[in-house]
Amino acid sequence: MMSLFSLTLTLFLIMDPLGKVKQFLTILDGIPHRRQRFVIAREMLMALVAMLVFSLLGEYISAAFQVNMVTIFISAGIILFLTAIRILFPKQEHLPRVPGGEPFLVPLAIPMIASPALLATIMLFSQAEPFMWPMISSILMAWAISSFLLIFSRPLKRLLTQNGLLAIERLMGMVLVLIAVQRFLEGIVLFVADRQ
Amino acid sequence: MPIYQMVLTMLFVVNPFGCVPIFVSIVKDFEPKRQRLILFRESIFGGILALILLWAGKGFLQSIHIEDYAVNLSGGILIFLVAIGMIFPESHKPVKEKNTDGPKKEPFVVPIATPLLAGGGFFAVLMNLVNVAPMFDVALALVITWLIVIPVSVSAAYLQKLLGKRGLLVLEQLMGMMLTMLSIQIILGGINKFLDQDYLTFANFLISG
Repeated sequence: MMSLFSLTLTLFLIMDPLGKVKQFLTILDGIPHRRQRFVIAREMLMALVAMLVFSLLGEYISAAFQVNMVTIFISAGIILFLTAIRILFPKQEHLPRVPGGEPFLVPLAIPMIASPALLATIMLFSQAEPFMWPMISSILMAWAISSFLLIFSRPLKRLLTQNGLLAIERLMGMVLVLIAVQRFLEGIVLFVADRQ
Repeated sequence: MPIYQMVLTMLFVVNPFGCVPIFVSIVKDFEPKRQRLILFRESIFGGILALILLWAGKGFLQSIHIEDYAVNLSGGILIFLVAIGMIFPESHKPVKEKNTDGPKKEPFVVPIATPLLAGGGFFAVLMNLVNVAPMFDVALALVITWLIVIPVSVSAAYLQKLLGKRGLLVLEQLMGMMLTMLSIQIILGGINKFLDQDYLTFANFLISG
């Protein structure tokens, strides 16, 4: 259905590492720098596992819950849309509440990187794709780039400055709204085509 | 197409004069000096964004499979949300809770630079112009347009003094209403394009390809 490049780019945009640099640094504040890199790498690995699980088992999960493609398209669109709206119109600093101390699995791996929006999209693409390998390799590529960027989030912040990061965050929010609306409409297209 | 004609088309779509009252209501809670700065910064951002869209927009959207009706609909929905926020402002408790540093409550990129200035409609016009005129001319027309847009936007900061507090509140409500209508029109345009497409072909492309 989509080229490898499109898949990778879409997944990368939904992972949105650049828009999350600021939140990552806030959450990791107070942990020694060297340890931070280790934590980020570990969390990214956990997120990768979640992504691969949903990519490989997505079909069975949706069969178990008896949901069809139309449903997944539309719900992926809605979740992504609400995520994007929170980026574009922030109410307050809404960092996920977690037990204190070093983040483990929550909130960095899930829900920040392997977010519900990303997992739903992965489920969707894996089912729409006739072959497994393009999907797996695009997940790996998007993940690798994101991990690289996040591991270097401290120098990245220095390079882009606070405002630069904020601008990128907002622009990414716009792109996410576009992707969300597109997914939603694709769901409607499938729905109409099913009826015809 | 001659450049002045392109400039006129762009001005008509960006509609900086129509946007001025909207800008006034968006930035009304800041000091006049700050307002000028915000408006200047946002219109520059809008211009940069428009240039980026002109140069890479189409390729980017195509590579993540975003159709042009989705561009219309997203822009429309975002403008709608801004408009609703103007008509039903959230909790009128003093906005002066400046416990955080950095531009947070301040409009930053969204909603002035995009989708109000460089939005979906403007993007569509840029794409049409690229088809009828050389890229360089379109870019030049864009820069000239923005030389007009920037001072007009910044003038919003002065309009506020003219209107006074009550005037501003009335203006905000009215502009919210107009903006709602504008957004619905954009959304309907998107729905129109969406309905025109060939469902079955697209559905087949989506599922198997």
